[in-house]
Amino acid sequence: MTYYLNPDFSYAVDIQDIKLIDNSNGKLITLNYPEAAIFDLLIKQYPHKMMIRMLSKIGLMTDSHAENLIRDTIDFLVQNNVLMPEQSRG
Amino acid sequence: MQNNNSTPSIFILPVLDKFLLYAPLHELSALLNEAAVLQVKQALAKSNPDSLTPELADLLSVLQAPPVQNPDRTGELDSQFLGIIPSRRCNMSCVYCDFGANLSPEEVIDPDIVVSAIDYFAALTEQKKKQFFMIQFFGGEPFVEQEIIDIAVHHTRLVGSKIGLIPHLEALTNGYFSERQRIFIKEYFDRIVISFDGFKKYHDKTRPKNSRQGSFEKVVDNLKYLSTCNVELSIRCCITSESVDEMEAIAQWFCEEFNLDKVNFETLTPNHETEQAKIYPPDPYLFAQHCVRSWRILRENHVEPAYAPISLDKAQTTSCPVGRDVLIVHPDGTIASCYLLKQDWDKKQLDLAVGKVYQNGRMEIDFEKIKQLRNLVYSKPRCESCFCRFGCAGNCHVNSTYPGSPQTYTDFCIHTRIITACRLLEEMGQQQMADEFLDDANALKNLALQKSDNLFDFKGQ
Repeated sequence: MTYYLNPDFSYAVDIQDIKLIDNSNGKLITLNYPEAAIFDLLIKQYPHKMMIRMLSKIGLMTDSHAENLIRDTIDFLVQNNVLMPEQSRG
Repeated sequence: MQNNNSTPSIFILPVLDKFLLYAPLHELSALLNEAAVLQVKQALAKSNPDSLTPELADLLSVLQAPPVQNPDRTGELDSQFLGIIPSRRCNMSCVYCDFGANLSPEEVIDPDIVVSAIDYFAALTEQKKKQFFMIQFFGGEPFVEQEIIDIAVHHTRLVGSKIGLIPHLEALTNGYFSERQRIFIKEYFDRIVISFDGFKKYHDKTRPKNSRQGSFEKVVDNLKYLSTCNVELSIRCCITSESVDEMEAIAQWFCEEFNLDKVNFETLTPNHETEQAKIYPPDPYLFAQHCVRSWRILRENHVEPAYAPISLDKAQTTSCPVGRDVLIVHPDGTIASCYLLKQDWDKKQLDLAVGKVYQNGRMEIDFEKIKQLRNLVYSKPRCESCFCRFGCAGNCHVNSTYPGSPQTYTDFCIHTRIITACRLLEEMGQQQMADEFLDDANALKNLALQKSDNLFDFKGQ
Protein backbone atom coordinates (compact mmCIF):
# COMPACT_ATOMS: atom_id res chain seq x y z
CA MET A 1 0.00 0.00 0.00
CA THR A 2 1.24 3.53 -0.75
CA TYR A 3 0.56 6.59 1.36
CA TYR A 4 0.53 10.32 0.87
CA LEU A 5 1.19 13.11 3.33
CA ASN A 6 -1.99 14.62 4.77
CA PRO A 7 -2.11 18.13 3.25
CA ASP A 8 -2.89 19.51 6.71
CA PHE A 9 0.60 18.49 7.78
CA SER A 10 3.92 20.05 7.00
CA TYR A 11 7.27 18.77 8.12
CA ALA A 12 10.72 20.11 8.90
CA VAL A 13 13.96 18.18 8.80
CA ASP A 14 15.82 19.13 11.96
CA ILE A 15 19.43 18.34 12.91
CA GLN A 16 18.60 15.04 14.60
CA ASP A 17 14.94 14.36 13.87
CA ILE A 18 11.95 15.28 11.72
CA LYS A 19 9.18 17.46 13.09
CA LEU A 20 5.63 17.07 11.80
CA ILE A 21 3.21 19.91 12.29
CA ASP A 22 -0.55 19.62 11.99
CA ASN A 23 -1.41 23.04 10.61
CA SER A 24 -5.10 22.57 11.45
CA ASN A 25 -4.51 22.47 15.20
CA GLY A 26 -0.79 23.26 15.76
CA LYS A 27 -0.05 19.76 17.07
CA LEU A 28 3.65 18.83 16.84
CA ILE A 29 4.97 15.30 16.42
CA THR A 30 8.70 14.59 16.60
CA LEU A 31 10.04 11.57 14.76
CA ASN A 32 13.42 10.45 16.07
CA TYR A 33 15.71 7.98 14.31
CA PRO A 34 15.22 5.43 12.87
CA GLU A 35 11.52 6.36 12.47
CA ALA A 36 12.54 9.64 10.81
CA ALA A 37 14.29 7.65 8.07
CA ILE A 38 11.14 5.57 7.52
CA PHE A 39 9.10 8.74 7.08
CA ASP A 40 11.48 9.98 4.37
CA LEU A 41 11.50 6.61 2.58
CA LEU A 42 7.68 6.57 2.68
CA ILE A 43 7.48 10.09 1.28
CA LYS A 44 9.81 8.99 -1.52
CA GLN A 45 7.47 6.04 -2.17
CA TYR A 46 10.14 3.39 -2.29
CA PRO A 47 8.66 -0.10 -2.86
CA HIS A 48 8.02 -1.89 0.44
CA LYS A 49 10.69 -4.57 -0.06
CA MET A 50 13.29 -1.99 -0.97
CA MET A 51 12.38 0.04 2.11
CA ILE A 52 12.95 -3.00 4.31
CA ARG A 53 16.33 -3.60 2.75
CA MET A 54 17.33 0.04 3.04
CA LEU A 55 16.17 0.41 6.64
CA SER A 56 18.04 -2.73 7.65
CA LYS A 57 21.21 -1.04 6.39
CA ILE A 58 20.43 2.38 7.85
CA GLY A 59 19.61 0.98 11.29
CA LEU A 60 21.97 -2.02 11.26
CA MET A 61 19.06 -4.36 11.96
CA THR A 62 17.67 -7.58 10.57
CA ASP A 63 15.15 -7.50 7.74
CA SER A 64 12.40 -8.77 10.06
CA HIS A 65 13.16 -6.09 12.63
CA ALA A 66 13.13 -3.48 9.85
CA GLU A 67 9.82 -4.81 8.54
CA ASN A 68 8.21 -4.64 12.00
CA LEU A 69 9.52 -1.15 12.59
CA ILE A 70 8.18 0.06 9.24
CA ARG A 71 4.77 -1.46 10.00
CA ASP A 72 4.64 0.10 13.48
CA THR A 73 5.73 3.50 12.16
CA ILE A 74 3.13 3.45 9.39
CA ASP A 75 0.45 2.50 11.95
CA PHE A 76 1.55 5.39 14.18
CA LEU A 77 1.56 7.89 11.33
CA VAL A 78 -1.83 6.73 10.02
CA GLN A 79 -3.37 6.82 13.50
CA ASN A 80 -2.14 10.39 13.90
CA ASN A 81 -3.51 11.33 10.47
CA VAL A 82 -0.04 12.21 9.17
CA LEU A 83 -0.22 9.68 6.36
CA MET A 84 -3.32 8.81 4.37
CA PRO A 85 -3.64 5.64 2.31
CA GLU A 86 -3.43 6.45 -1.39
CA GLN A 87 -6.74 4.62 -1.98
CA SER A 88 -8.54 7.13 0.29
CA ARG A 89 -7.64 9.96 -2.07
CA GLY A 90 -10.89 11.08 -3.69
CA MET B 1 58.68 20.41 11.63
CA GLN B 2 59.79 19.30 8.20
CA ASN B 3 60.33 22.85 7.05
CA ASN B 4 63.86 23.85 8.03
CA ASN B 5 66.63 26.16 6.93
CA SER B 6 67.19 24.17 3.76
CA THR B 7 63.58 24.72 2.69
CA PRO B 8 63.08 28.18 1.23
CA SER B 9 60.34 30.09 3.00
CA ILE B 10 61.32 33.70 2.25
CA PHE B 11 60.59 34.65 -1.33
CA ILE B 12 61.22 37.62 -3.54
CA LEU B 13 59.13 38.45 -6.62
CA PRO B 14 59.68 41.07 -9.30
CA VAL B 15 56.60 43.28 -9.65
CA LEU B 16 57.06 46.12 -12.14
CA ASP B 17 59.94 48.23 -10.77
CA LYS B 18 59.63 46.88 -7.22
CA PHE B 19 60.06 43.59 -5.42
CA LEU B 20 57.48 41.80 -3.35
CA LEU B 21 58.98 40.06 -0.36
CA TYR B 22 56.73 37.24 0.80
CA ALA B 23 57.32 35.07 3.84
CA PRO B 24 54.16 33.00 4.29
CA LEU B 25 55.34 31.20 7.43
CA HIS B 26 56.11 34.57 9.04
CA GLU B 27 52.85 36.08 7.70
CA LEU B 28 54.82 38.89 6.14
CA SER B 29 54.65 40.62 2.79
CA ALA B 30 56.34 43.89 1.87
CA LEU B 31 57.21 45.92 -1.21
CA LEU B 32 60.89 46.79 -1.47
CA ASN B 33 63.29 48.27 -3.97
CA GLU B 34 66.29 46.30 -5.20
CA ALA B 35 68.77 47.86 -2.79
CA ALA B 36 66.55 47.01 0.18
CA VAL B 37 66.17 43.41 -0.99
CA LEU B 38 69.94 43.00 -1.17
CA GLN B 39 70.34 44.57 2.26
CA VAL B 40 67.79 42.21 3.81
CA LYS B 41 69.38 39.23 2.11
CA GLN B 42 72.85 40.14 3.35
CA ALA B 43 71.63 40.90 6.84
CA LEU B 44 69.81 37.55 7.06
CA ALA B 45 72.86 35.69 5.80
CA LYS B 46 75.09 37.34 8.37
CA SER B 47 72.49 37.39 11.14
CA ASN B 48 73.95 40.81 11.83
CA PRO B 49 71.77 43.74 10.83
CA ASP B 50 74.23 46.60 10.57
CA SER B 51 73.26 49.97 9.14
CA LEU B 52 69.69 49.05 8.23
CA THR B 53 66.94 51.64 8.19
CA PRO B 54 64.48 51.25 11.10
CA GLU B 55 61.83 49.89 8.69
CA LEU B 56 64.18 47.23 7.34
CA ALA B 57 65.41 46.40 10.84
CA ASP B 58 61.78 45.79 11.88
CA LEU B 59 61.24 43.60 8.85
CA LEU B 60 64.40 41.68 9.61
CA SER B 61 63.39 41.06 13.20
CA VAL B 62 60.16 39.43 11.98
CA LEU B 63 62.04 37.23 9.55
CA GLN B 64 64.61 36.22 12.17
CA ALA B 65 61.94 35.26 14.69
CA PRO B 66 60.57 31.70 14.66
CA PRO B 67 57.85 31.21 12.01
CA VAL B 68 54.30 32.00 13.09
CA GLN B 69 52.83 29.26 10.93
CA ASN B 70 53.66 25.60 10.78
CA PRO B 71 51.99 24.05 7.73
CA ASP B 72 53.10 20.52 8.56
CA ARG B 73 50.47 18.08 9.70
CA THR B 74 51.60 15.97 12.62
CA GLY B 75 50.03 13.71 15.20
CA GLU B 76 47.26 11.15 14.95
CA LEU B 77 44.85 10.61 12.07
CA ASP B 78 42.62 13.66 11.83
CA SER B 79 40.43 13.56 8.76
CA GLN B 80 38.47 16.71 7.90
CA PHE B 81 35.72 14.73 6.25
CA LEU B 82 34.67 11.34 5.01
CA GLY B 83 34.19 11.19 1.25
CA ILE B 84 31.90 8.65 -0.35
CA ILE B 85 31.88 7.82 -4.06
CA PRO B 86 28.63 5.86 -4.57
CA SER B 87 29.64 5.00 -8.14
CA ARG B 88 31.36 6.54 -11.15
CA ARG B 89 28.16 6.56 -13.17
CA CYS B 90 26.80 9.82 -14.47
CA ASN B 91 23.66 11.13 -16.16
CA MET B 92 25.56 13.63 -18.30
CA SER B 93 28.25 13.44 -20.99
CA CYS B 94 30.76 16.14 -20.12
CA VAL B 95 33.63 16.30 -22.56
CA TYR B 96 36.27 16.80 -19.89
CA CYS B 97 35.12 14.46 -17.14
CA ASP B 98 37.91 14.11 -14.54
CA PHE B 99 36.02 11.60 -12.48
CA GLY B 100 36.05 8.64 -14.76
CA ALA B 101 32.39 8.51 -15.76
CA ASN B 102 33.42 7.50 -19.28
CA LEU B 103 36.12 5.03 -18.33
CA SER B 104 35.38 3.29 -15.10
CA PRO B 105 33.30 0.21 -14.39
CA GLU B 106 29.68 0.71 -13.42
CA GLU B 107 30.32 -0.65 -9.95
CA VAL B 108 27.99 0.69 -7.25
CA ILE B 109 29.26 0.77 -3.69
CA ASP B 110 27.87 -1.84 -1.32
CA PRO B 111 25.61 -0.25 1.35
CA ASP B 112 27.42 -2.30 4.04
CA ILE B 113 30.67 -0.60 3.05
CA VAL B 114 28.98 2.81 3.30
CA VAL B 115 27.59 2.28 6.80
CA SER B 116 30.84 0.73 8.08
CA ALA B 117 32.82 3.70 6.85
CA ILE B 118 30.36 6.14 8.42
CA ASP B 119 30.55 4.28 11.75
CA TYR B 120 34.35 4.37 11.68
CA PHE B 121 34.39 8.06 10.87
CA ALA B 122 31.80 8.83 13.55
CA ALA B 123 33.97 7.12 16.16
CA LEU B 124 37.00 9.07 14.93
CA THR B 125 35.09 12.36 15.05
CA GLU B 126 33.77 11.62 18.53
CA GLN B 127 37.26 10.70 19.72
CA LYS B 128 38.53 14.08 18.48
CA LYS B 129 35.71 15.76 20.42
CA LYS B 130 34.54 17.54 17.29
CA GLN B 131 31.05 18.94 17.01
CA PHE B 132 30.48 18.37 13.30
CA PHE B 133 30.45 15.15 11.41
CA MET B 134 31.24 15.99 7.80
CA ILE B 135 30.39 13.67 4.90
CA GLN B 136 30.99 14.60 1.25
CA PHE B 137 29.59 12.78 -1.76
CA PHE B 138 31.48 12.65 -5.04
CA GLY B 139 30.90 10.79 -8.29
CA GLY B 140 30.46 10.26 -11.26
CA GLU B 141 27.26 12.00 -10.33
CA PRO B 142 26.36 11.06 -6.74
CA PHE B 143 22.63 11.66 -7.08
CA VAL B 144 22.40 8.98 -9.78
CA GLU B 145 22.67 6.56 -6.84
CA GLN B 146 19.79 7.99 -4.81
CA GLU B 147 19.28 4.75 -2.86
CA ILE B 148 22.89 4.79 -1.62
CA ILE B 149 22.65 8.49 -0.81
CA ASP B 150 19.45 7.87 1.18
CA ILE B 151 21.07 5.08 3.17
CA ALA B 152 24.20 7.14 3.82
CA VAL B 153 22.34 10.32 4.77
CA HIS B 154 19.97 8.57 7.17
CA HIS B 155 22.66 6.37 8.70
CA THR B 156 24.79 9.49 9.26
CA ARG B 157 21.89 11.26 10.94
CA LEU B 158 21.02 8.21 13.01
CA VAL B 159 24.59 7.83 14.26
CA GLY B 160 24.85 11.57 14.85
CA SER B 161 21.69 11.62 16.92
CA LYS B 162 22.93 8.70 19.01
CA ILE B 163 26.30 10.17 19.92
CA GLY B 164 25.51 13.86 19.76
CA LEU B 165 27.35 14.83 16.58
CA ILE B 166 25.90 17.37 14.16
CA PRO B 167 25.91 15.96 10.64
CA HIS B 168 27.23 18.22 7.89
CA LEU B 169 26.43 16.87 4.43
CA GLU B 170 27.99 18.08 1.21
CA ALA B 171 27.90 16.95 -2.41
CA LEU B 172 29.71 17.77 -5.62
CA THR B 173 27.12 17.42 -8.34
CA ASN B 174 26.42 18.31 -11.96
CA GLY B 175 23.13 19.91 -10.90
CA TYR B 176 21.10 17.70 -13.22
CA PHE B 177 18.65 16.27 -10.71
CA SER B 178 14.90 15.94 -10.40
CA GLU B 179 12.47 18.16 -8.50
CA ARG B 180 12.08 15.46 -5.86
CA GLN B 181 15.85 15.26 -5.47
CA ARG B 182 16.30 18.99 -5.10
CA ILE B 183 13.72 19.03 -2.31
CA PHE B 184 15.71 16.26 -0.63
CA ILE B 185 18.90 18.30 -1.05
CA LYS B 186 17.21 21.37 0.42
CA GLU B 187 16.02 19.36 3.40
CA TYR B 188 19.13 17.33 4.21
CA PHE B 189 22.23 18.95 2.75
CA ASP B 190 24.33 21.76 4.16
CA ARG B 191 26.49 22.50 1.14
CA ILE B 192 26.22 21.81 -2.57
CA VAL B 193 28.90 22.44 -5.19
CA ILE B 194 27.48 22.49 -8.72
CA SER B 195 29.67 22.20 -11.80
CA PHE B 196 28.35 24.87 -14.12
CA ASP B 197 30.37 26.42 -16.92
CA GLY B 198 28.67 29.78 -17.38
CA PHE B 199 26.66 30.99 -20.35
CA LYS B 200 24.61 28.45 -22.33
CA LYS B 201 26.98 28.49 -25.33
CA TYR B 202 29.84 27.37 -23.07
CA HIS B 203 28.01 25.13 -20.63
CA ASP B 204 26.18 23.08 -23.26
CA LYS B 205 29.36 22.63 -25.25
CA THR B 206 31.39 21.26 -22.33
CA ARG B 207 28.62 19.72 -20.21
CA PRO B 208 25.89 18.33 -22.49
CA LYS B 209 23.25 15.94 -21.21
CA ASN B 210 24.04 13.77 -24.22
CA SER B 211 25.02 14.22 -27.87
CA ARG B 212 21.62 15.70 -28.74
CA GLN B 213 20.64 17.71 -25.68
CA GLY B 214 22.17 20.36 -23.47
CA SER B 215 21.82 20.55 -19.72
CA PHE B 216 21.89 24.33 -19.25
CA GLU B 217 18.20 25.01 -18.57
CA LYS B 218 17.79 22.25 -16.02
CA VAL B 219 20.95 23.16 -14.11
CA VAL B 220 19.98 26.85 -14.09
CA ASP B 221 16.53 25.90 -12.79
CA ASN B 222 18.08 23.86 -9.98
CA LEU B 223 20.59 26.60 -9.16
CA LYS B 224 17.73 29.10 -8.92
CA TYR B 225 15.74 26.77 -6.70
CA LEU B 226 18.69 26.13 -4.36
CA SER B 227 19.41 29.87 -4.31
CA THR B 228 16.18 30.27 -2.34
CA CYS B 229 17.09 27.58 0.20
CA ASN B 230 19.16 27.52 3.33
CA VAL B 231 21.94 25.55 1.64
CA GLU B 232 25.48 26.83 1.12
CA LEU B 233 25.67 26.98 -2.66
CA SER B 234 28.86 27.05 -4.72
CA ILE B 235 29.60 26.95 -8.43
CA ARG B 236 32.63 25.27 -9.90
CA CYS B 237 33.13 26.81 -13.32
CA CYS B 238 35.55 25.36 -15.85
CA ILE B 239 37.11 27.98 -18.10
CA THR B 240 38.28 27.22 -21.63
CA SER B 241 40.10 29.20 -24.31
CA GLU B 242 36.66 30.25 -25.59
CA SER B 243 35.15 31.42 -22.31
CA VAL B 244 38.19 33.08 -20.73
CA ASP B 245 37.50 36.53 -22.19
CA GLU B 246 34.01 36.49 -20.68
CA MET B 247 34.96 35.55 -17.14
CA GLU B 248 34.02 38.95 -15.71
CA ALA B 249 30.64 38.83 -17.49
CA ILE B 250 30.08 35.29 -16.22
CA ALA B 251 30.96 36.32 -12.66
CA GLN B 252 28.54 39.27 -12.88
CA TRP B 253 25.80 37.06 -14.27
CA PHE B 254 26.30 34.44 -11.54
CA CYS B 255 25.92 37.15 -8.90
CA GLU B 256 22.77 38.54 -10.50
CA GLU B 257 21.05 35.22 -11.19
CA PHE B 258 21.87 33.11 -8.14
CA ASN B 259 22.34 33.45 -4.42
CA LEU B 260 25.83 31.99 -4.12
CA ASP B 261 28.31 31.57 -1.32
CA LYS B 262 31.36 30.71 -3.41
CA VAL B 263 32.48 30.53 -7.03
CA ASN B 264 35.50 28.56 -8.12
CA PHE B 265 36.90 29.33 -11.56
CA GLU B 266 39.29 26.66 -12.74
CA THR B 267 40.97 25.91 -16.03
CA LEU B 268 40.12 23.00 -18.26
CA THR B 269 42.36 19.98 -17.71
CA PRO B 270 43.03 18.75 -21.25
CA ASN B 271 42.66 15.08 -22.07
CA HIS B 272 41.98 12.91 -25.09
CA GLU B 273 38.25 13.69 -25.04
CA THR B 274 38.74 17.47 -24.89
CA GLU B 275 41.14 17.32 -27.81
CA GLN B 276 38.62 15.35 -29.83
CA ALA B 277 35.95 17.92 -28.97
CA LYS B 278 38.37 20.73 -29.89
CA ILE B 279 38.07 22.32 -26.47
CA TYR B 280 41.27 23.79 -25.10
CA PRO B 281 42.49 25.30 -21.85
CA PRO B 282 42.84 29.07 -21.70
CA ASP B 283 46.12 30.94 -22.07
CA PRO B 284 47.46 31.09 -18.49
CA TYR B 285 48.22 34.81 -18.63
CA LEU B 286 44.73 35.62 -19.92
CA PHE B 287 43.17 33.38 -17.30
CA ALA B 288 45.13 35.08 -14.52
CA GLN B 289 44.15 38.57 -15.72
CA HIS B 290 40.46 37.73 -15.98
CA CYS B 291 40.46 35.70 -12.80
CA VAL B 292 41.79 38.55 -10.65
CA ARG B 293 39.16 40.92 -12.09
CA SER B 294 36.35 38.36 -11.81
CA TRP B 295 37.19 37.78 -8.17
CA ARG B 296 36.79 41.48 -7.51
CA ILE B 297 33.29 41.35 -9.00
CA LEU B 298 32.48 38.36 -6.83
CA ARG B 299 33.74 40.04 -3.67
CA GLU B 300 31.83 43.23 -4.46
CA ASN B 301 28.71 41.05 -4.56
CA HIS B 302 29.59 39.27 -1.29
CA VAL B 303 30.44 36.02 -3.05
CA GLU B 304 33.67 34.38 -1.96
CA PRO B 305 36.10 33.39 -4.72
CA ALA B 306 37.14 29.83 -3.96
CA TYR B 307 40.47 28.61 -5.21
CA ALA B 308 42.17 25.95 -3.13
CA PRO B 309 45.72 26.58 -4.44
CA ILE B 310 45.73 30.07 -2.91
CA SER B 311 45.67 30.14 0.86
CA LEU B 312 47.07 33.42 2.13
CA ASP B 313 45.68 33.10 5.65
CA LYS B 314 46.91 29.63 6.37
CA ALA B 315 50.08 28.02 5.04
CA GLN B 316 49.43 24.52 3.72
CA THR B 317 51.44 21.65 2.32
CA THR B 318 48.63 20.48 0.03
CA SER B 319 45.75 22.15 -1.76
CA CYS B 320 43.61 19.04 -2.13
CA PRO B 321 42.36 16.26 0.18
CA VAL B 322 45.57 14.27 -0.32
CA GLY B 323 47.85 15.06 2.61
CA ARG B 324 44.98 16.23 4.80
CA ASP B 325 44.24 12.75 6.16
CA VAL B 326 40.95 12.75 4.24
CA LEU B 327 39.33 9.35 3.84
CA ILE B 328 37.44 8.85 0.57
CA VAL B 329 35.68 5.55 0.09
CA HIS B 330 35.68 4.35 -3.52
CA PRO B 331 32.96 2.11 -5.00
CA ASP B 332 35.08 -1.04 -4.47
CA GLY B 333 35.72 -0.21 -0.80
CA THR B 334 39.22 1.18 -1.32
CA ILE B 335 39.91 4.13 0.94
CA ALA B 336 42.08 6.85 -0.56
CA SER B 337 42.68 10.51 0.07
CA CYS B 338 42.17 11.18 -3.63
CA TYR B 339 38.88 10.96 -5.51
CA LEU B 340 40.47 10.33 -8.89
CA LEU B 341 40.51 6.83 -10.36
CA LYS B 342 43.05 4.30 -9.14
CA GLN B 343 44.18 3.81 -12.74
CA ASP B 344 45.10 7.51 -12.87
CA TRP B 345 47.46 7.15 -9.89
CA ASP B 346 48.86 3.91 -11.21
CA LYS B 347 49.86 5.60 -14.46
CA LYS B 348 51.89 8.10 -12.45
CA GLN B 349 53.39 5.42 -10.19
CA LEU B 350 51.56 6.77 -7.17
CA ASP B 351 49.71 4.75 -4.58
CA LEU B 352 47.17 6.97 -2.87
CA ALA B 353 45.18 4.15 -1.26
CA VAL B 354 45.33 4.36 2.51
CA GLY B 355 43.00 1.56 3.48
CA LYS B 356 40.06 -0.67 2.71
CA VAL B 357 36.52 -1.23 3.95
CA TYR B 358 35.23 -4.76 3.62
CA GLN B 359 31.61 -5.85 3.29
CA ASN B 360 31.74 -7.52 6.70
CA GLY B 361 32.41 -4.12 8.25
CA ARG B 362 36.13 -4.66 8.81
CA MET B 363 38.14 -1.55 8.10
CA GLU B 364 41.88 -1.13 7.65
CA ILE B 365 43.71 2.19 7.64
CA ASP B 366 47.44 2.32 6.96
CA PHE B 367 48.57 5.28 9.03
CA GLU B 368 52.13 5.07 7.73
CA LYS B 369 50.83 5.79 4.22
CA ILE B 370 48.80 8.70 5.51
CA LYS B 371 51.95 10.14 7.08
CA GLN B 372 53.80 9.77 3.77
CA LEU B 373 51.05 11.66 1.94
CA ARG B 374 51.28 14.53 4.43
CA ASN B 375 54.80 15.30 3.21
CA LEU B 376 54.39 14.89 -0.55
CA VAL B 377 55.16 18.55 -1.25
CA TYR B 378 58.68 18.10 0.11
CA SER B 379 59.47 15.70 -2.70
CA LYS B 380 58.37 17.98 -5.54
CA PRO B 381 61.42 19.51 -7.24
CA ARG B 382 59.32 21.96 -9.27
CA CYS B 383 57.90 23.49 -6.10
CA GLU B 384 61.16 23.74 -4.19
CA SER B 385 61.83 27.43 -4.78
CA CYS B 386 58.33 28.55 -5.74
CA PHE B 387 56.62 31.12 -3.53
CA CYS B 388 53.33 29.23 -3.89
CA ARG B 389 54.68 26.10 -2.21
CA PHE B 390 52.77 26.82 1.01
CA GLY B 391 49.51 27.47 -0.84
CA CYS B 392 49.30 25.58 -4.11
CA ALA B 393 51.85 23.04 -2.88
CA GLY B 394 52.12 21.54 -6.34
CA ASN B 395 48.38 21.40 -7.06
CA CYS B 396 47.17 17.93 -8.08
CA HIS B 397 49.64 15.26 -6.99
CA VAL B 398 48.43 12.98 -9.80
CA ASN B 399 47.99 15.29 -12.78
CA SER B 400 50.44 18.06 -12.06
CA THR B 401 53.38 17.23 -9.79
CA TYR B 402 53.56 13.46 -10.03
CA PRO B 403 56.92 11.71 -9.51
CA GLY B 404 59.15 12.43 -12.48
CA SER B 405 57.01 15.32 -13.74
CA PRO B 406 58.82 18.12 -15.59
CA GLN B 407 60.51 20.66 -13.35
CA THR B 408 59.53 23.61 -15.53
CA TYR B 409 56.45 25.62 -14.65
CA THR B 410 53.21 24.51 -16.26
CA ASP B 411 50.36 26.75 -17.39
CA PHE B 412 48.75 26.02 -14.03
CA CYS B 413 51.88 27.24 -12.24
CA ILE B 414 51.95 30.40 -14.35
CA HIS B 415 48.41 31.49 -13.66
CA THR B 416 48.58 30.48 -9.99
CA ARG B 417 51.79 32.48 -9.49
CA ILE B 418 50.30 35.60 -11.08
CA ILE B 419 46.97 35.36 -9.26
CA THR B 420 48.69 34.75 -5.93
CA ALA B 421 50.99 37.76 -6.43
CA CYS B 422 48.00 39.96 -7.30
CA ARG B 423 46.10 38.77 -4.23
CA LEU B 424 49.11 39.64 -2.07
CA LEU B 425 49.23 43.12 -3.60
CA GLU B 426 45.50 43.57 -3.07
CA GLU B 427 45.80 42.43 0.55
CA MET B 428 48.46 45.13 0.97
CA GLY B 429 46.07 47.76 -0.41
CA GLN B 430 47.95 47.93 -3.72
CA GLN B 431 45.07 47.28 -6.11
CA GLN B 432 46.25 49.93 -8.56
CA MET B 433 49.69 48.36 -8.68
CA ALA B 434 48.07 44.96 -9.26
CA ASP B 435 46.15 46.45 -12.19
CA GLU B 436 49.29 47.98 -13.71
CA PHE B 437 51.06 44.68 -13.22
CA LEU B 438 48.25 42.75 -14.93
CA ASP B 439 48.40 45.10 -17.91
CA ASP B 440 52.15 44.68 -18.36
CA ALA B 441 52.87 41.49 -20.33
CA ASN B 442 56.61 41.63 -19.66
CA ALA B 443 56.13 42.12 -15.93
CA LEU B 444 53.79 39.13 -15.82
CA LYS B 445 56.33 36.95 -17.61
CA ASN B 446 59.18 38.12 -15.39
CA LEU B 447 57.30 37.00 -12.31
CA ALA B 448 55.61 33.93 -13.74
CA LEU B 449 58.79 32.43 -15.18
CA GLN B 450 61.28 33.39 -12.47
CA LYS B 451 63.17 30.15 -11.88
CA SER B 452 63.76 30.58 -8.17
CA ASP B 453 61.80 32.83 -5.85
CA ASN B 454 64.13 32.03 -2.97
CA LEU B 455 65.45 35.27 -1.49
CA PHE B 456 68.88 33.70 -1.11
CA ASP B 457 69.06 33.10 -4.87
CA PHE B 458 68.36 36.78 -5.59
CA LYS B 459 71.21 38.52 -7.35
CA GLY B 460 69.58 41.74 -8.45
CA GLN B 461 68.60 42.72 -11.95
